[in-house]
Amino acid sequence: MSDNKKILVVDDDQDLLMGLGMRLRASGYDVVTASDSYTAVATARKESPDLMILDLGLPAGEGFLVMERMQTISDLSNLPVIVLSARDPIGNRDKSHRLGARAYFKKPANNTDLLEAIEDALSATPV
Amino acid sequence: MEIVAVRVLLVDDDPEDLTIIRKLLTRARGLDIELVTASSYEEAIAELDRSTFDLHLIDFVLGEKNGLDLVRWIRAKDPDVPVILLTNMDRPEQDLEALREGASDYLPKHRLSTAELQRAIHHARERSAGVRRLRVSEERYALAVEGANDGIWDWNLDTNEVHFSSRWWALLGVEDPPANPGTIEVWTDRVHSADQEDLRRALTEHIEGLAPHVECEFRMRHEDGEDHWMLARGVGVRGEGGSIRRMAGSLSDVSERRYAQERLISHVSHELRTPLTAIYQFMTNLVDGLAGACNDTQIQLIDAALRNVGELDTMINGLVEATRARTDQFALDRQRLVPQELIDEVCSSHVSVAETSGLTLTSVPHTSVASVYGDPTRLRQVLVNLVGNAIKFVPPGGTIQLQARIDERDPGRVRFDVTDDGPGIPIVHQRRIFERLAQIEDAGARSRKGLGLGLYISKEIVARHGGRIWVESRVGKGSTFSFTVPLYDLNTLVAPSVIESRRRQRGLALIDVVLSAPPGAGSQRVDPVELRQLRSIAERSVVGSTDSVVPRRSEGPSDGVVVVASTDVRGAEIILERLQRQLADTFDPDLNRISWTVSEVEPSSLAACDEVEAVERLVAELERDMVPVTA
Repeated sequence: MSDNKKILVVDDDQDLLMGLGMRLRASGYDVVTASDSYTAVATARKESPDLMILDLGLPAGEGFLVMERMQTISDLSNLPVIVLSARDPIGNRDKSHRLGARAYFKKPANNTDLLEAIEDALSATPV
Repeated sequence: MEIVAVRVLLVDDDPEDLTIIRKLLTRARGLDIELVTASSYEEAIAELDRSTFDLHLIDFVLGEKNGLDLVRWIRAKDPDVPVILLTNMDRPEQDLEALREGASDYLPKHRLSTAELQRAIHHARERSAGVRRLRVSEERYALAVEGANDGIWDWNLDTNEVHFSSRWWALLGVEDPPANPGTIEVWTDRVHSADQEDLRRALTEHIEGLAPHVECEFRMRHEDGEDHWMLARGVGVRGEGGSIRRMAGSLSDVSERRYAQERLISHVSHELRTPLTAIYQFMTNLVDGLAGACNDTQIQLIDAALRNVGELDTMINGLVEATRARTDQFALDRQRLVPQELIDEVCSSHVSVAETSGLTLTSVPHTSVASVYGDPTRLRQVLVNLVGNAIKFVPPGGTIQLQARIDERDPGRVRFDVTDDGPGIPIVHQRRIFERLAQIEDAGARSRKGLGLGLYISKEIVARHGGRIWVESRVGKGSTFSFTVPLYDLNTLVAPSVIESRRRQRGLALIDVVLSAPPGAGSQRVDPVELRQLRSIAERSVVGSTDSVVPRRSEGPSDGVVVVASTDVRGAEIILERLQRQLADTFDPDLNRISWTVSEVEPSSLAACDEVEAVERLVAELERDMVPVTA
């Protein structure tokens, strides 16, 4: 059982999962992935990650659905979430914050900024 | 001479006249006449029922009935066929009556000769043919217009009168339009403020002969509360001397196409970001050695790839912004700003980039420039765009200078200038550079990358602030790009009404005024005359009271809401709370930007003032009593 923090990356784009996963592992994190809302929640419960990186652009608006569902599950309601999105921030950014996201990045997210936000989210005390 | 066969019906109740005319007709030249006669109205009708005639000669007097009745009967069947009335010289008024009833011509009986008859017959036939052609043409035109479903406008430039078709009004949702003629302002007043300049320019360019016709798309206020995208097309008629005295054209609703286009662009831009992100991720992973160390050449290549990824990212963002710029999601977060700070900031953040390109970038210091009212992020964006362009186009050794000062021509504004001593812009290009996708095809440009949207977006930003953006430049003499922004002025922020009409010209901040009357007050505590007076001059004012439904906020973004209580401060606070709740329930993005105030005003102080004075007094009192109510 490693000491590394575990990050669950949720995105329906396999290339993104591979690319970002590689970057996160190289930065010392363990990575698990999911590509739809159902698997995302199931994997979160099973793997107990320390942080979730979530693509809002999951098909059929499932991005927000994941966050809403997590809030109703006691184990997951404190899981910090960082949101990535290809869409414009207008409206989405506010909604994400209201649903508890720690940070919001428009794709492509700068690696340094993203890693910094991950560190901040992991070291912050739970809300 | 060509012989024309003509079937003639001659109607006269006098048998002698019949014989005379028959004889005259046989001698008529150029006509092969087949003659049918009738000596009464009834006989004539019988003949007309039996067959048709090419020409009718009818005596004015026909026993009990007169010839006009017969003309009417014939006209009811055929509006164009030649009908000539034979009139009596003792009754000249018959001539006029004949024409009014639709006769093609009249002939005084006493002057009847072959020559006269001949002339009259030829003339009547020609005229009928002409009238028929005209009628067919008009029907075709009317059908085409109806088929096209466009509105029609017709502008007389001399009198400034404009005729609008009922369809024109219907396109805007107006079912009970004002009577024609209107003025051109009736049209332009409905046009969105950011588009007025475009429409005016399209009209002016055609009038000045710079464009072959008028063609322009712009937003107009529809009765349903939304802005609709409209397309106006038109052309002018040049009078003597070559100037246009009259212009007419069509108006059509292109909202669907326009919004669909914007949705499409928006959707496509979003989709582009996904593969772009993948490329970015893989390239950075490679260059950072996550797949093994890279040699120097490999790093160089990947860095070059990453630079292009950055360009693509900028382009996509620019495309999305340009799309949004036109759909009012482009909200401004306006504040009090110091222009000098803004230009110093942009200067210092770009000095090193300028140096890399061999250019000197400076800002001219001014100590006493007043504050402006604007969105700092957006205005910075405009300055960065102008400075960035200068850096792109000015060759090494050149200088770029930033300046901000009060506009000499309009002291209500501050003017920002970005001046360079670069190659200058040919006048031919100057007109177009602020349009979408405009790019200057200049051999000297260091980098022609980018979508060319920067100036277009800058123009939208400046227009939304109520300012102007333009360029002064000559080839070989450098360029100065300038834009204006309104001054920050509490008076103009707060006084809504008279300023409202001036706002259209000066682009000042927009305020909703809610006049509140105490519950059940009616005429008791607040004089309705005063309320009406204020309401008539404050176009955007609504009247509410604590025991009535809170009025709907007027459309469009506002920069502040001022609640004016006539005598009841508590009532005003209640209304204010209701408004806030209404906005919160609808997730209104304005909620966080609006400053709320409650103020007490003595209505009696407004009595016996003229309108302007009343508003000014209101403003003075508001300034004195501004009490921010925090949520």
